[in-house]
Amino acid sequence: MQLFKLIFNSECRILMRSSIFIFSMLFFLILSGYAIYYGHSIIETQKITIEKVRLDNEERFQKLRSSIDRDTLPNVVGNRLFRVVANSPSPLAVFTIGQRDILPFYGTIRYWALSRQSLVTESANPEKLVAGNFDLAFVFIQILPLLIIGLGYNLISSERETGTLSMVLSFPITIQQILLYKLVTRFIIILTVVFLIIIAGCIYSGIVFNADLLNWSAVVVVYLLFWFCVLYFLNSLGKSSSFNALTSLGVWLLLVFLIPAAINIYVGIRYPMSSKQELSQTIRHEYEEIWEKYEDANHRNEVAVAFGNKYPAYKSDTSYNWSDKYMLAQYDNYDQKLKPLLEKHQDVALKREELTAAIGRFNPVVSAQLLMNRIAQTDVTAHIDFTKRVDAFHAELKSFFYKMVFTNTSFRKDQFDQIPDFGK
Amino acid sequence: MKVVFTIARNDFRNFLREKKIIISGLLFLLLVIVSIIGGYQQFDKQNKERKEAQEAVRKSWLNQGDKNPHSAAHYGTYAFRPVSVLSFFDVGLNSYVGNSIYLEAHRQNDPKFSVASESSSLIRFGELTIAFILQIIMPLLIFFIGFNVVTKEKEGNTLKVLFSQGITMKSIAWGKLYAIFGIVSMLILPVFALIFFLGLMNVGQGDKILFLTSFSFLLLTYLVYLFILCSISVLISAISKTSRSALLVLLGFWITTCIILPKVAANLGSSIHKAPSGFEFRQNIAKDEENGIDGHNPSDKRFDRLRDSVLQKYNVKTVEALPVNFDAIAMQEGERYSSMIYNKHFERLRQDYLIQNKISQYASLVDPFIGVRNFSMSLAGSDIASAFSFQEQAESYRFEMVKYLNNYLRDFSVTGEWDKKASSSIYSNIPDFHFTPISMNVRLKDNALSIVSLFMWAIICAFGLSSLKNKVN
Repeated sequence: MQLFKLIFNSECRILMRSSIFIFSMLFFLILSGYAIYYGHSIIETQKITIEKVRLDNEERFQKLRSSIDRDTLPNVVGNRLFRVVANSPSPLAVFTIGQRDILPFYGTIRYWALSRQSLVTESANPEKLVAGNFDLAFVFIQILPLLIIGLGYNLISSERETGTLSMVLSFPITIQQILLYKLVTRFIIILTVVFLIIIAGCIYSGIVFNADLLNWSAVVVVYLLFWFCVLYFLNSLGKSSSFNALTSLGVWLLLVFLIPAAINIYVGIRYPMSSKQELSQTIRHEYEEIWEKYEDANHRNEVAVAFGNKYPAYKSDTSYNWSDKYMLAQYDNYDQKLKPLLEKHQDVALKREELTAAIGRFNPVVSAQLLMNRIAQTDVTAHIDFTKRVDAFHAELKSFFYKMVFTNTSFRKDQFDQIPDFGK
Repeated sequence: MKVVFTIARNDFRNFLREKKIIISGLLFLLLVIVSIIGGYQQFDKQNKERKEAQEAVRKSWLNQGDKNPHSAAHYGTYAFRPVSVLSFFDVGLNSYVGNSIYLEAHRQNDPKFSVASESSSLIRFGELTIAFILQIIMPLLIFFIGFNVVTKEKEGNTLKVLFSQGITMKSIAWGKLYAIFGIVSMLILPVFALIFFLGLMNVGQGDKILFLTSFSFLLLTYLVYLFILCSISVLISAISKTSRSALLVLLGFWITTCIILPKVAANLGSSIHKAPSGFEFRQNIAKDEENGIDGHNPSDKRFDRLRDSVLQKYNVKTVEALPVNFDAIAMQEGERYSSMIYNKHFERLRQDYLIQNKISQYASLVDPFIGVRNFSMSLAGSDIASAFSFQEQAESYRFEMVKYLNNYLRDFSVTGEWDKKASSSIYSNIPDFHFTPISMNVRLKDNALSIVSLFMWAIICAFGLSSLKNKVN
């Protein structure tokens, strides 16, 4: 312990005097600061967008409400009533934007055919999307290892190359001990800096301490440990500084670029992107068919009856409000027909994510990124959860109006507050 | 001059004898092969799929049967974004742009289904294409070969001997440069030959000239880029005291120019200059449609004026008395108006994005990687300009399609005659959607800054090499 203290103190002193160390630390702090600012501004913009959509929709809702002054047909209200569905970012999304900038995170939904209403894909500058997000996860996962390598690639070799190693070894200490103590010193420094950055980020974007934050930070710590292990191993080989620098950079390159890219290629071949042709064709064919036979009274009747047989709750006579009943029955058919096609589309994404996670488990870089995204709920899985919640909500909204229409019930003025709302 | 070639020949032979260079060269080629297979397979699949899809929608468009022209306009069709031949070389932004647009009456839809929206988060680590390897991995290989070319002579005290023989640092540096450049060319020229043949196999008859010019520019650009990198590594090696410090400076340069700066520049652009969100974009359009593009021309007034002018033209009192279908005229007028508004806002969004990307473009002055990346994407037809061009061409196709159907409806029926059907043969009067790639002139103009900055870098490097002084330390 005495020895460790000695090495810790002298190493700290040496580092503090090194202008390269000070410079790269400052550079790293600036990058982290920008990452915090960047992540915060992206997520803040998304929150503002959701808020704007909500306000706009609320205005429409109030307008609709004030225009209805007596009991009316339920579809008169339903056709003009939109509900906002939004995948609000978790607090940690600020640190790990993940796929949130690519996947749709809000939409306005009506009670009829869900497959005709898609969630809004946010328009974004593709050049920025391809460059990737400069968030804290990126800085920790890709940049921080470089700093660690820079701090520790030549712990023994430099002593040997400058001829101070034999002098150090005249003390009662082994090379392994020196290496370990030097690495622990650097680990403590890096860990302190990382925690300060996380705390600064939390203060800046108002994240309160919770289990997610703890897990997220734990991922960072374990990930850092991995890189220190790499350095420990590399330094133990006893090769030259240049060899160490190139090899550690090679490892970084392999883990950060080449392996993820190779996994991407493999996953792409294993689960090719589903062809959109079938989906696109079906979307318009089926829709046209609904309208084409609209004038055919017999057909209309048949559809409504078949619908009533399928869902006893929607069994109804076709004497009243028949045209709307026909459309609603057809919209349901339409959704049923498109459902497997849309699911296929989503299935590919989910399967790709699963396979990526299964292979990526062996690469700490990929694991760390996927874990961070998972904890911050900014991955594909979280998005699919959101679409499932939208599906469930739509079913609720649909049944609210369908029941009224098919049981020939009027919509009462005071029923506005009973209309289901997303997340309430 | 003779000395330069002697040094070059000598060093070139020495490189070929070094095991670490042979191994890293082989690894590099292995990576290239993997990326060619991966990139080409993706290109081939997407290319076939989109062609098939475009043919299929065309077929169903032609075979939609007799119906009212306006039903046909609602039925609509799709535009699929064709993948350019060279996108297997540089996939650029392709994965982040929607692949197809639904073209229908009354609505300008956004492109949908990008590759990235279906991929796991891993896609953000980058895609392994040949361009990626040439732009990012190649510099590392060059620095790895070249970091100690001069420092080695310093450390082995052979530099003094060379000086004493009257050989200048300038000729040593140029000699070393030729040697490294020779090794690098040996690696990449076969790769480019392969790219050329793969491209030639897939290029359509009409696009051959564009392909040949794009390919030549690509080859030239990458050679200039590699020249810059080779000179930088020799320069740094010549002015560094030890091999170690030369290596550190070069690696620092690589990390800054290839990893950090491109990302910061792209993100900074959007932090500084905000573009409207998708919601705001649609809201602005809706506002303009309601109040008129100048804000003083509400939609109901526009409608009244149109009706009066049509009635006056045909010299009748009521819409019913018109010999033509007034609904069709009104719809076409609405289409014209909404298209005008959409184009105005789309152009604004495009400008916003271009302003955001300006930071990146200017950054190419200090970062040759960014210059190469931008120009390479543009030559491969996978840049933002191509993506925008597709969207514009799809919208103008949509407009012409709807216009034809509206005009047909106007002339063959009267107002309110919604159930009158037109023969299905009229649909073939609307030609199939065909995407025209951006011309070479425009590509060169778009990338003027990147091109200038690359040449500037090359000149500065050459000047730097030539002005090296004989210094042992």
